[in-house]
Amino acid sequence: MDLTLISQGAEGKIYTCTFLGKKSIKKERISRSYRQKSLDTKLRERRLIQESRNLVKIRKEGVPVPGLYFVDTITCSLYMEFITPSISLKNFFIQNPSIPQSLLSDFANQIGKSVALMHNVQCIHGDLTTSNMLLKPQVSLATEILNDFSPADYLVNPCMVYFIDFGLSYGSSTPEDMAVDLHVLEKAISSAHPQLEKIFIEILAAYKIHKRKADSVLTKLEQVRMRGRKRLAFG
Amino acid sequence: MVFLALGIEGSANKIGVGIVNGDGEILANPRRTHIAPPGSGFLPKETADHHRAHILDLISEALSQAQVTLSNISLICYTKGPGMALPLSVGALVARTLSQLYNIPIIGVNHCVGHIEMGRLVTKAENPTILYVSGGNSQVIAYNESRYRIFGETLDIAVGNCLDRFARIINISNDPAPGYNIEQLAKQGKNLIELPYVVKGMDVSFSGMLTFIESIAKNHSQEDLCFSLQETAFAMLVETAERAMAHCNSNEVLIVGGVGCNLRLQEMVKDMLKDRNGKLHAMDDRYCIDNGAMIAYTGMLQYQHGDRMELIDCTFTQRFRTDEVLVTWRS
Ligand SMILES: Nc1ncnc2c1ncn2[C@@H]1O[C@H](COP(=O)(O)OP(=O)(O)O)[C@@H](O)[C@H]1O
Ligand SMILES: [Mg+2]
Repeated sequence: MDLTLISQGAEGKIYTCTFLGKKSIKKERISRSYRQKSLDTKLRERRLIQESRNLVKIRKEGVPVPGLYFVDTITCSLYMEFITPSISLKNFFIQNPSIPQSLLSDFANQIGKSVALMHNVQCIHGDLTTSNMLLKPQVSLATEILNDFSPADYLVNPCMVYFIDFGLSYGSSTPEDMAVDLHVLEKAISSAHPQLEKIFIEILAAYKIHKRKADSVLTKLEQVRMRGRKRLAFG
Repeated sequence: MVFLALGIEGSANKIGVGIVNGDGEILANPRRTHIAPPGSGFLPKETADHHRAHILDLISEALSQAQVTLSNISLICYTKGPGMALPLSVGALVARTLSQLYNIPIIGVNHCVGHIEMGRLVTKAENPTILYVSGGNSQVIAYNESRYRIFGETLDIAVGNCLDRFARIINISNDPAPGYNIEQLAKQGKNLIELPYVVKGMDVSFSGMLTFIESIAKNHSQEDLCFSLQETAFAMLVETAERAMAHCNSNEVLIVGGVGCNLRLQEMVKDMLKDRNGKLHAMDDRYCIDNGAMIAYTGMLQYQHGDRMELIDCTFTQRFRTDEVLVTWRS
């Protein structure tokens, strides 16, 4: 198969490939030599299943996620839709020093809504960072344009925010788990993009509109934050 | 005249005094450790008593090793926090007194930032992802826009605290350190017991693992328990460090803090980095463990970049997050 490595993340290798004639993504959870074999196998298998199950579940709710094509339990690989052209939200933020407020609000709304839709069906993403969100232009563009889409082009074309990387996702209905999910996102933004910290407020506003019983989650979020601030860290 | 900084560290069970010159050379760095009896942790009052009993001797020892006197010292640095209040108060009090008596400027230092800067000094790591693992702390940190940002951390207890409490549960000695004894026993372990593995994004949680171990401890050998605890807890840490590296496009890791002495942890991080063509900067024991030189060196960086403190601000605080410090000396 025509595998081209495009990213080596924390858990696995991401390749582009052709699957049944279609340009696709292969995500392979490689065995990691630093951990014991039995633990390694368990983690890889568990995450493969969680990721594939929740990709399917979340797509039904209308959250933009890559379509799942095939699960290979032998090599712990997923084949899925190639979101292209796309840029991770993280790289978009880093490579565009000034982003119009209206665009930030648009992304915040989409993110808040999508997280709410996931939580409404008891799916906790588990790793909400700006690396795990991809921007993809909504409009269908001519192939020549698509092929050399630059970071700045995402500023002028309306984009959809896709969610990826469901390996740490799990099912839960508790406000606590949902609050922690939001807190992970909040910290990911404030540590990697401190100048954009305020976008989280808008994310929460959108979350509140779309999440059922949002109040209990937001109250919990306040407690989770306090815990972080109060936690002793010394030694 | 050479610039000389004297640093006092006493935020946990170690009291240390270090002297560093303007080039970052460590001229002296003696310390003493308060060792609690087996089955118990170190308590604030006993620890503070220990520090009080040793601090003046340590200062004389450091001065004579460095072959200087207090009148040669240009700056007094002390750990402002985070840490245990009573032990911290001993260092702060002595620092303030020396500053007043000898009319030397004084600077309070964040203990965690001290570990990081010492790590960068000793290993020459430029801009590493930092795995900070100690008795009271488990954080994954990276520098971004003038602060050491916390990308991931423990949601409950620190990994070192988990090891210490585990040692108490199965009655492992605290001498020289519970973590050290666990490391030795783990080498004889063979069977991996399945323990709760909790990673949430770049955060980890150890409390569930500890409760679980407590409930099954009697069914297994000490060796297997130590082995399983280390393998599982460290895998969680290595995984979150790798997540942070991928997120920050970083290719090097610096391990700091007392648990960083653990050779198995270092080996696991090295294995992880091999797959990424990355580089490990591991500290040796002299600097991983709390010491005065790291406080002296970091205080000096702060001072040289314009930081000044009035006596009235020379307090100490139990809670002092790594990302509260504005890092003026890196840009
Ligand atoms: N379906 C996809 N379409 C396009 N790019 C993708 C897709 N899935 C992953 N990627 C790229 O690979 C990177 C890592 O993928 P991810 O699923 O987040 O794996 P990891 O667990 O290693 O973080 C993403 O940041 C993105 O750049
Ligand atoms: Mg990812």
